[in-house]
Amino acid sequence: MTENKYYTPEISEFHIGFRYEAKNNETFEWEKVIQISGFAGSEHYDRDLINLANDQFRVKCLDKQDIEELGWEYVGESNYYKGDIRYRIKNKGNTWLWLNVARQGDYQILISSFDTGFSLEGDSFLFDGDIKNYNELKKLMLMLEIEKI
Amino acid sequence: MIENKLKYQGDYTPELKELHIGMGYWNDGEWEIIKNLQDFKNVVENKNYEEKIKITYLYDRDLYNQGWIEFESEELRPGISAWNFKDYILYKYKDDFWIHKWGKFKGQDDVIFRGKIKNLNEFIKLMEMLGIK
Repeated sequence: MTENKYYTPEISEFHIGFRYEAKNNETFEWEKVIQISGFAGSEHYDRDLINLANDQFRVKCLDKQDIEELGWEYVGESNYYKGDIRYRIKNKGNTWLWLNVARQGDYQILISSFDTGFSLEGDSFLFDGDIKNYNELKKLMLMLEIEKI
Repeated sequence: MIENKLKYQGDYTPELKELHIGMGYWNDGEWEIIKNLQDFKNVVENKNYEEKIKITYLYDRDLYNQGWIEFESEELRPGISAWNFKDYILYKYKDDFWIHKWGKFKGQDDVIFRGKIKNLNEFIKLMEMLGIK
């Protein structure tokens, strides 16, 4: 997982609450935006569509800062999966959940209720897939009913 | 015959934050997809939004339409419905969903998702994140 890596979002990713960055046309600096209405945070649909086509919007790929902001505590390198980076969170019910970021690839994430991410019972996984950005992890945590206590 | 827990469970008016291009919804009883910005704008600005714009809770027809096939097994506990798609098996019990990928670990199946799936749009997105579709 690389810090400060960005991609141009698909138009289908925009929704209210979506967190992304937009280039300021005067300063040419990237500014953080949280969409609060319409498309890309404004009612100027046509202008926003042109901006999207011209790569004036970007989304930061999921990184350590995003994961920590969503309540996960950085633990360090996994002993079990060498090279994987682990985070943990104390979920409701007073149980620890673990988030492993795979050493290979940008997005592969494993969320489990077991320290090593694997148990013989085979039922410790909550999620094993790709998470592209902060928005997706936030949404997924709702689906997995993960709530930091 | 197993008890199917994935029958139609009604619909709800989505929060605005759920809307995005590519999603399906009911508009005054007709199934529609937000295909472009104009559609998006029309939905957001619909004067009868609360009354007419609806999303169905995930149910069996959604799974069928995505290619999942329900199957029965004597090993299933009562109240669990089970579905198959390629190397994946989805179980539903009450409000909880499990998705297993067969052969992930040495010939055994294993869980790749355990949580809630509210509607078809969430399900489609989840399949993408899990690498199913």
